Amino acid sequence: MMLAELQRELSAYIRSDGANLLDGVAERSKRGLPVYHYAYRASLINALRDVFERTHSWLGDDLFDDAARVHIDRNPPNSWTMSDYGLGFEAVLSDLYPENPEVAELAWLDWNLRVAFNGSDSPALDRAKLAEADWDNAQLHITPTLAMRPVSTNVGALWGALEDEEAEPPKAHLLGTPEILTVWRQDLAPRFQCVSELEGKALALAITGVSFGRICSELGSDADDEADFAAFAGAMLGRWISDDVLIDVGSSLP
Amino acid sequence: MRTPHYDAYLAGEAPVDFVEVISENYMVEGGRPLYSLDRVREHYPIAMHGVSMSVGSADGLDRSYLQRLKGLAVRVQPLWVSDHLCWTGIDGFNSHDLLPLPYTEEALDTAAANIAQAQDFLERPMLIENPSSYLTFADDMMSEWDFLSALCERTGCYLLLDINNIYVSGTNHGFDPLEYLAAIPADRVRQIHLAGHSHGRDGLLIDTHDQPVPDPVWALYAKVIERFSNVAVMIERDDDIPPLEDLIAEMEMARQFSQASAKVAA
Ligand SMILES: [Fe+2]
Repeated sequence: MMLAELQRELSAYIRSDGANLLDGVAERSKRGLPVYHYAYRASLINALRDVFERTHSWLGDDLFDDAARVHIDRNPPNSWTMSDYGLGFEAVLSDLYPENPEVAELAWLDWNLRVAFNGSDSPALDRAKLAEADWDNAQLHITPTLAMRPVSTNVGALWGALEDEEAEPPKAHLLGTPEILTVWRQDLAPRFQCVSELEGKALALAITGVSFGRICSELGSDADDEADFAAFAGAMLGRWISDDVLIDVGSSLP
Repeated sequence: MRTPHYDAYLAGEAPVDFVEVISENYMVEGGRPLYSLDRVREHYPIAMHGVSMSVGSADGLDRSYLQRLKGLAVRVQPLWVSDHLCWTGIDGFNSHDLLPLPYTEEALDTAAANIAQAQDFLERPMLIENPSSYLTFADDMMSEWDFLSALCERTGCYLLLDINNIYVSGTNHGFDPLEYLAAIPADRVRQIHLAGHSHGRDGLLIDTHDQPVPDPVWALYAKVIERFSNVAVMIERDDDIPPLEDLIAEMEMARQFSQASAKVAA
């Protein structure tokens, strides 16, 4: 048998339910085939348990591993690195648990914390620039590790509570108003924070290169009270600075 | 080097001569893994050990993988770069397992071409490790040791001999590990792995790396180490990671057998 053909057949066997052993294997070593069949799933499930640690705690071994098997069947790994393998697991969980949005939201958080952990380095903000910045026109540079998404549940509280495996986690519940969950890395530590939809909009604008002044005028025009909005915007910028979400203040835009 | 022992390596306090790392764990954009690796590199030489090159793939090597690997090698300036005699998938599928090759002329041509390409690209010779295997193929035409010897001859690559894997595969496939070790070109061996294994179903031994080095593996090592001068010895442990002191004790054992010639790491 040609090498390529043998590799296709063995790959197909590993991905299959394992019922049909393949030809081409020496008769006396057919007992070895199930070792590879088993190891394939076991190592992928382990990798998913490692990345999706809190999702695993929330679902428990059985439900988590069932979901992992669905992911393995739907999305066989196709990257050279196992660290890509969590991509798409959130979508699987969202299909499996349509009535429990906290499951996919927890998975999104677990995944993005890992992505931020390994994400690009960026130089620390040069604080001397802050005093000189022309805030009306300066472009804001947001850390490249920032990820965000709207959430509908108390996923942040759940994730935090699941740290202690012994403790009873709080119940999942829907939020009164949707929030934006943000993840980024501060120095070497991945962090997350739930922020208001308004702050989420501001971050999205900043990422696309809109100046702080324009962000304020665009979002402030909807605000009921101008002074309130100015105070909110100032506090928000202060947090971006102290949390290393803001990594640079560029030159003024033309 | 494994996560529970990071602090000792970061501080340069682990009594080892070099550190072996899994290359793929550091083929990332940034953050703590690379930060730690740079600190460790300040104290120790590093051997880069990969699991994803897939030198036996009939459809060739992944170019973006090679680029990343080279980037890491430039950063780390390693003692050497190693990977396994295996394939991991085909047509874009990656099993993330070290799958065995049939030992045929065609597979030898394929692996030799891939290794030659990797060595050209990395601008350094590679070390190729013998895997544990649970399968042989109906088409096999030569032994694993002949296959490895031919690869060295054709590509100029070196070998990372895993004594445990030889023992495991020998038990599973019914060959004599001493015959294997006697046939290996001693001057191509740069590094040795020592590890433990587990007993699977149907009498198979499984390379689980979650046990201390067992007596039969020590016995093989003691018999052959004198054949290899100037090799680096590494105790592998991927699971159930014990305290560093336990691994250091195993390393001392490895040192004793090999007198002063070997460099050791855990
Ligand atoms: Fe090994």
